[in-house]
Amino acid sequence: MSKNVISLLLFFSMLIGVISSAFAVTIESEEIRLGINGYINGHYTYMGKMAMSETETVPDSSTFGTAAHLLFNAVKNKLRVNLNLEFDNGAFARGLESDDEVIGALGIMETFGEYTVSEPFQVRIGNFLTPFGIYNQIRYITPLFAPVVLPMMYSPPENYKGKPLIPANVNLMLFGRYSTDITSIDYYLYGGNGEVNNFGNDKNKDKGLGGRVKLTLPYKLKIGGSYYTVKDDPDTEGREGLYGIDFDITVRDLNLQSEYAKDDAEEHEDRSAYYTRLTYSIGKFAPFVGYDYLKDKGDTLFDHGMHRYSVGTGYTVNNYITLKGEYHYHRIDDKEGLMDVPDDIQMFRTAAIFIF
Amino acid sequence: MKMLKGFLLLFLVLVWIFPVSAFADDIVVIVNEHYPLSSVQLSEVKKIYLGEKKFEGNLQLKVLDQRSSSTIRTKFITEVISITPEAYYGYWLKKFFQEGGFPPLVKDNSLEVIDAVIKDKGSIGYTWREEAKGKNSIKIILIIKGD
Repeated sequence: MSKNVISLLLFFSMLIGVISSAFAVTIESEEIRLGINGYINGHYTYMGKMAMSETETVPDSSTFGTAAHLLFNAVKNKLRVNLNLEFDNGAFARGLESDDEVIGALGIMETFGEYTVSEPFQVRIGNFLTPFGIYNQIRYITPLFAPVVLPMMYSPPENYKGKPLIPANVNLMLFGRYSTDITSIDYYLYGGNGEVNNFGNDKNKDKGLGGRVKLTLPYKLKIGGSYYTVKDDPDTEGREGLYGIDFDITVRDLNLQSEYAKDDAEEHEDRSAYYTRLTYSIGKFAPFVGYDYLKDKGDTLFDHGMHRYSVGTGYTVNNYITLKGEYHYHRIDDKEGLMDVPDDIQMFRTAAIFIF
Repeated sequence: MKMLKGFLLLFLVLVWIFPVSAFADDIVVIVNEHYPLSSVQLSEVKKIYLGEKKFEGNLQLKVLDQRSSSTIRTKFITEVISITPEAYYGYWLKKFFQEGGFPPLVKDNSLEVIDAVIKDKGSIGYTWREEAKGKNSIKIILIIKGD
């Protein structure tokens, strides 16, 4: 208990320090503009008792954690340089076999240079998140835009042993936008090393290649399609093809978002996921309901799929502070009968996001 | 005769005053004289100030704003972007995280905006109509009528 209190006190004292100094920095002149912004996300998660396999369970747990991002952007004429630092400030979990403390880490999430030849033709080189689906490219800032818990295709539950249905970072991208008065088409063509090993080196000679097209129509209707192929793990996966389609429409204060992704691998059973979410903006509140599904035919627990039903709300205090609270109910599609393990999981998550 | 002189005087005074008072609240969107367009729609200006449009043909736009404490800025953001200045700030804060986009470059006053527009053919800014009147090397591409 004392560890919990200390963690909380440490977290809030850090927040007070940051907020009071409000150190967002913008240096600008006619020639160059430099911006440093970031956010801190403090969160609490309760996970009910859950099945880890057909015979194993883990008890319920509570986790306090913080994460932060610092974004550096410099623009000079048509050149932009970006550095995206990730501070996973660690977490303290209570309720597992022994109280578990996770030490945080500092990492570089993205670093790249971008040159804009014209609006329809831009080039980016470096190491950056792949534009696949609605959230992959901005998944690190999801708390700013959407519920704190990402859909399962981006962030699977803890008892799923597979990887998310999203590509690894890429290294070279050609992209741009063609627009008319009421519509626009964004395209992205990219390539990269695929997954890297613990030392940051490429796993093999094969390269990952992919593309995305996003069409924006009147009434803020957005339709996107993504594709990525790679051969990261020849023995276990073979050549993989990731497909995704997404849809987003906003009518007055209602936003409907839906997405589907499939991983078609030569040496592994197919995996697929989809979700749909309805959000209503009412003043400073943004309540939502959602349904999410993940299926992996090669996983003993997820072979018939897992359903997630979500309800929650965000509350925007002002431009700098957002509060969020969510409840998620998960149910494993139990067609053949699990061995004395629960087929459902309750999850509650709350977060405070401080933007600077 | 005295009455006629009186009316004439009143007429001259009104002619002198009226154009000033009629245009006092008008905001104009100004660009360099070499800017490729001679007029734009309000919706285009909105796109430019929301960072959705960054080029006019091959010309990269340099978008200019005014101090947040100024009356003209509040009026421009409210009427053109159709959101509050606070929401406009929040919009750009999020855009910075999403795309690395920077909000329009802030100038201290209309004179600085006009100077910047004269110097750079991709610059676009806004001033009171009276302030842009008669200025060389710039052109007005949109008039936003006052109350």
